[in-house]
Amino acid sequence: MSGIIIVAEVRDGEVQNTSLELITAAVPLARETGEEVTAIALAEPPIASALDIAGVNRVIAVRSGGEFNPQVVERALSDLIAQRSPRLVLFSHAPDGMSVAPALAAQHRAGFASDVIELDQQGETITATREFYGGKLKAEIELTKSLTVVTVRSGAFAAAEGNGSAELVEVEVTVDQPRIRHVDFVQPPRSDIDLAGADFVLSLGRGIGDRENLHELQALADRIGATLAASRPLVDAGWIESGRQIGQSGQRVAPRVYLALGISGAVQHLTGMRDAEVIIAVNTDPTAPIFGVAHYGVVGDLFEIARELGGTA
Amino acid sequence: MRIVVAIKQVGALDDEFELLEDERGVDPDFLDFSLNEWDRFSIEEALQLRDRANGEVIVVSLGDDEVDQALRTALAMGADRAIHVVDDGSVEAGGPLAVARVLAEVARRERPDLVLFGAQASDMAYGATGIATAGYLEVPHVALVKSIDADGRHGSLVVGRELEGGVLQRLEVDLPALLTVQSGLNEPRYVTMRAVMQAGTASVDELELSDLGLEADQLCAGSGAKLVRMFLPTGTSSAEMLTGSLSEIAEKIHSIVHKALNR
Repeated sequence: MSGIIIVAEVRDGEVQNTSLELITAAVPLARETGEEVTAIALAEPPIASALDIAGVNRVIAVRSGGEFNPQVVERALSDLIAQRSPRLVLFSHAPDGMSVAPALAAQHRAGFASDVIELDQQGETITATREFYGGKLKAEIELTKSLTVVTVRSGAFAAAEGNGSAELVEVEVTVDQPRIRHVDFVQPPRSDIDLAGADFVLSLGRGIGDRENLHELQALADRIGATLAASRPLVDAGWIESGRQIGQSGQRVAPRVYLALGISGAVQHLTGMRDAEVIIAVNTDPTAPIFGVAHYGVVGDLFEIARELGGTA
Repeated sequence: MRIVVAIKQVGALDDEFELLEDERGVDPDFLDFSLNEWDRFSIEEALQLRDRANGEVIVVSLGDDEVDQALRTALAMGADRAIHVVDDGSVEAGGPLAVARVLAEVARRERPDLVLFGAQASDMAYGATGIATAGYLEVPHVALVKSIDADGRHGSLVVGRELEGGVLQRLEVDLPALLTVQSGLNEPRYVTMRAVMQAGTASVDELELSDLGLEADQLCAGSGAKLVRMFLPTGTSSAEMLTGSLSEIAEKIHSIVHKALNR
C-alpha cells in the first residue's frame, strides 16, 4: 500500500483553506517514503485545480453533477482505494470529513484517528497526536494498519502554497438510487449586529452562569464601548441571538481587542477569534484552553472584574 | 418509529488529577462524570420524533458503573428502554472504531429506523463514533445535524447539516439512517435529580461483549490504533497573567484596551 490521498472540502465553488493545510501535512510524509500525493475534490476541474500545489502529484476532480453527498464521496474514495491502494487518506476535521471519514475507515477496516494536530512517520508506523479533555491532555496514537484514515484539525498546519505540476484527472461518479439527496442550502438569519466590523468585542461564555446576568454584562459592554458577543452554549440555550455567536459555526472576527469573560476556549470557539490583535481572557480555571491563545489572562471571578471595569470607566 | 440513541457518561478532569500507571489514560477517581452534553439533544430529538410517530426510544451506552447515571437520566426524560454494554475501559481504549463496532452490533439487533449519536463527546471529542457506527451498519449517515424535519416523504427525513458560519445544507435521507446531532438542535427537557434517582433500573438490560459475539482484545487489535501515551501539553500558555487587587487588574485591562484601540 502506498500513496497519500487528500480529500478537499468545497464551499460556494471554492476549495477551502483547510484542505490546503492537508497538503502541508502530507508532503513531508510522502517525501520520507517517496510516495505520491493525490488530492481529490467533489468539484469541476477548474475548481479542483486549486489543489495543484507543489508536492501534489495528481488532482482528481469528481464530477457528480451535485453538491456534497456522503454517499458520492464514499463511492469515489472506495473506487480510488481499490485502484491505487493508498496507505493514508487525510480529511479535514470539518463538516464533510466528519460525515465521511469514520464510515470510510469502518468500511475499509482502516486504522483511524481524528482531530489530529501532529502527524509523524517512523518506518511503517504513523504516529498521530491529538488532544483529550478539552486540550488539558495530549496523546500519541500509533497507527499500524496498511490503510489509515485521519481527520486533521483545521489550523494545525499552514495552508500549502506554490505552483504545482500535478496531473489533472476527471472522473464521473454516480450512485444508483441514492439514499441521500441534496435539497438546498439555508442561510443563517440576517443580523444587524456588525461583529466583523467591531474594534472591541466583549464576549461571554458559560461562566456567566444565569441568563439574568446578561443584563449587567450588556450594560458593561455599552459603558466600555464594546460590541457584545457570545460563545455557542449561550446561543444554543436561547439566551442570546445567533448573530452574536463567535466560532466555527458562527462568526470569525479579528478585532483590535477581544475580551473574553467566562469562556473556556473550546477549539471551535478559538477558530472564530484567535486572529484578534489583543486577546484578554478572564476565567476561574487556570487551565482553561483560552489562556493558550490569550495575550493577557486573569484567573478570577468575571463579575468582580466586570464591576471594577464598569466602575472605573 | 424505533429509534436507538447511543449516549455516553463523560468524565471531566478534576483540578488535580493523576494518570494511570501505564500513562494511557486518566485515573477515573479524578474524573467528574456527567451525561455528555450533546446526548441531551439526541435523546430529546428521539423523544419528540417518537411522540409524533408512536414509536420506541432505546438508549444504549458502553462503559462501566458510571453509565448507570446516564441511562437513568435518559429513562427519566422518557426513553422506553435502556441497554448497558459492560466495558471496563478495554473497548474504549481501542478508540472510536472499536466502540462503534460494539454499538453497531447492539443497533443491528434492535433493527431501528433511526440511530442518533451526539456529534461528539466532551471528553475524547473524536467526533467519529457515530459515523463509524453507520459505516459498520451500512446505513446512510450525516454528521452535525442541526435540523430534522420529519414531515417529508414517507420513509425519509430532511436534515440540515451545519456548515461554517451557520449555513445549513439540507439533505433528504432515507431510513433506516444514522445521524449525529449538533448542540442547539432542540431544547432538551429538564429532569430533576429525584426523577433520575427514581428511574427504575428495572428497565436497563445489561449485556456483556460475549452476548454480542465480540471480544475486547480482538476489537482493539482490529482497530489498528494504539494510544501509546497521554501527557500534559508543555508550556502552551502564552498569556501574560495579570495579578494584583481587583482595581489594579481593572486598571491594567483599561490601559491595555486603551492602547490597543488608539494605536
